[in-house]
Amino acid sequence: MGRYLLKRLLQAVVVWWATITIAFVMLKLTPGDPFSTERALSPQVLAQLEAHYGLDQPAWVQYLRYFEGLFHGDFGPSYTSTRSVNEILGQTLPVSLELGAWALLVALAIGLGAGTAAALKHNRWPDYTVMSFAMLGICLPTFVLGPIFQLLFGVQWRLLPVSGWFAADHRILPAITLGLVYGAIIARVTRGGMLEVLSQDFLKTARAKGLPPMEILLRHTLRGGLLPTVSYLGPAIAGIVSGSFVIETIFQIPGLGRQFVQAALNRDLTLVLGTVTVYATLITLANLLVDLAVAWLDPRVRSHHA
Amino acid sequence: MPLLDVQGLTTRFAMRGETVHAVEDVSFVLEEGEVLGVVGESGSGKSVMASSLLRLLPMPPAQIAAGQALLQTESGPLDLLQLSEREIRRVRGREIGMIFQDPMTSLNPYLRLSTQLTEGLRRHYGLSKRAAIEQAIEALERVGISDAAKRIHSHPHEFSGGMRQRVMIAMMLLLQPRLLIADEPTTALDVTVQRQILDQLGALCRDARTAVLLITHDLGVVAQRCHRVMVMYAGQVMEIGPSQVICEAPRHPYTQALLRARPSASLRGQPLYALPGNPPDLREPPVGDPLLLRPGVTGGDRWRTERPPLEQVGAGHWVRASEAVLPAWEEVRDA
Repeated sequence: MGRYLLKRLLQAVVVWWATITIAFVMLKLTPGDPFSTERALSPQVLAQLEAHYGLDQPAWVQYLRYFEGLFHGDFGPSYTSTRSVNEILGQTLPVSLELGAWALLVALAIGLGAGTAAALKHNRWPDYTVMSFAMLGICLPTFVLGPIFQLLFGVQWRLLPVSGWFAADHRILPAITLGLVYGAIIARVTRGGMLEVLSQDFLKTARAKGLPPMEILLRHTLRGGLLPTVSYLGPAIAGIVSGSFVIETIFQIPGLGRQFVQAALNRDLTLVLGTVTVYATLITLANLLVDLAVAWLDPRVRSHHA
Repeated sequence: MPLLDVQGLTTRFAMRGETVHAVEDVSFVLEEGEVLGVVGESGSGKSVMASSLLRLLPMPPAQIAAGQALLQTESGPLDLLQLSEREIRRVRGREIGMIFQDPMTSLNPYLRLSTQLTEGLRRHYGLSKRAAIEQAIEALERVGISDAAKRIHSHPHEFSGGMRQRVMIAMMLLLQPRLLIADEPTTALDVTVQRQILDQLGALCRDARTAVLLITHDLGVVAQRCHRVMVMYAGQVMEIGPSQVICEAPRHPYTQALLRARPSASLRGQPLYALPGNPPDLREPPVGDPLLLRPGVTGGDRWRTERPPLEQVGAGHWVRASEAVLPAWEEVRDA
C-alpha cells in the first residue's frame, strides 16, 4: 500500500505540472496580450508595463519565475485588476467550492439512492422509472435546465431566488442544476455496479449461511457494488469543478468559473494561469483520493500494485 | 426418524409464459451421518433439487410447486418448504450447510476471511468476535491451512482454488450443521486436488456425524465415498439404492449408460461410450419414460405415454421401470 501511495503521488505531481506547463505554453502562443486594447498605448507606456510585469524577459524565464512564485504561494499580479490573483482566487474559490460541494451532495443523494433502488428492483417499475429519468437528466444540458428552473421556481411559482449568492436559498437552484446531471450518471453507474455484484455467487454463499437480507446488502453487496461509483467520483468532481462556470454565469454567482471566463476574454494571462493551476490542483487531488479509496475498498487492486 | 425426509419435491421455473419442469416428484430419505450421492448429467435437476431444500432459488421465477421436506431438529421436525423466510434463515448454515461448485467465485473478494468465517457463528451462536475468530482459526487448521492465525486476516484472492474450497468447507462445518449439501464441490478444481478435498470433506463429516448430500456427475466419486446413490435424469429419480449395488449391478438403462461412460484403465485406447443427444427439453416434460426421447434408444413402447413407476428391486434399492434399450456401443462409436 505504501509503494502504491508513493507511485500515485508521483503521478499526480507529474500530471499537475504538465497541465500548468501546457496552459502556460498555450497562453504564450495565443496572439494578443492584456494591453492590446482598441485604444493603442504609447510604446513607452507599453514598455514600462511589460518591464513592470516581467513580460520583457524571455518566455522560459517567465515560466521559471511563475513556478518560483507558485512555490511561495504567489500567483502573481492580475493584469486587468488592481487586486492580485491571490486575492481574486481567495474571494472566488470558496464560493465555487461551496457550490461544488452542494452539487456533489445532490448528485450522490440522488444517484446512490436511485441507482441502488433500481438495481434491487431490476427489470421492474422502479428500475424503468429511474433509468428513464437518468437518461433525461443526462440528455438535458445545464444551460437548458438552469433557465427552466429559474423560470419555474423563480418566476412562475416565486419559491426561490432567480439568481445571486446571498442567503441559503440562493444555493438550492444552482446546486440542483449542477448536480442533477452527475446524479443521473451516478444512478446509472451505481445500478450497473450493484447489478454486477448481485449476480455473484458469493451472495448465494452469504444466504446459505443464514444471513438476513439487510446484512447481506450492507456487508456483502455495497462494497463491491459501489466501487464503480467511487471510481467515477474522480471525473465527476472534475466535471463539477470545471463545469461550474456555466452555472455561475446563469445564476450570477461570484465564483471562480465566472472569473475564469472573464479572465480569458480579457486575456489576463496570470489570472487564467492561476485559475488553471487551482483547477489542476483540485482535480489531481480528487483523482488521487478516489484512487486511494478504490484501493482501500478493493483488496485485489491493493495487492496488484504492491 | 430419518434426518431428512423429502417427499414429492417438485420445482418449476416460470419463464416468459413457459414453465420449466426442473424437478419432478423427487423423494428420498437421508439418515444421520449418511452420505448420499446424487448423480446425473448437467441439467438433470440435481442442483435445483438441492437449492430447493434451502430455498436458495430466486422466487420468482422459481416455484416449489409441491412436496414436503421434513428435517429433524432439536425442536422437532420442520418442513423446510413451509417455513417462513425468517425461519428458513435459522436453518441455513446452522442446520444445513452448503458448498458450491466454484470456490473462485463463492467467497466474497472484498472481505477478509475472518469476516466471512465468523459472521455465521456470530449470527447463529451469538459468539463474541474474539471467540468466533478463535473457532474460525481452529476450523481452518482442521482443513489443513497452515499458519491459520495469520492467514485468517487475508483476502480470498491470496489463496489457490483448492485452498479456497477448503476455506468454504471450514466455513460451513464451523456452524456444525447436521447436513452438508456439497454441489459438485470439486468440479472446478484440478484433478490432483479433487481427491484430497473429497477425502478431507469425508473425514471431517464422518467425525462430526454430519450427513452429506454429495452432488456430482462423477460416478467414480460415488462408488468410494457414498453409502447410497440417487441417479437423476430429466428432473426425476431413475434409480436409488446402496452405492455398491448400483455401481456393480446397475438396473436402470440410464445408470448403465452413466457407468459405461466412465473412463477406465481396462478400456485404454478405446473411445468412450457416450449416450447420443441431449437430455429432454424440460419446458415440455416427457409424459412417458424420458429416456425414450434420446436418439438411438429403442423399445420401451410400454412407457411411451405413461410415466413408469419406481419399483423396489432389492433392500433399499428402487428403480424406475424402463424397457428402453440403449444403442449398442458400435452404433455410438460410428455416429
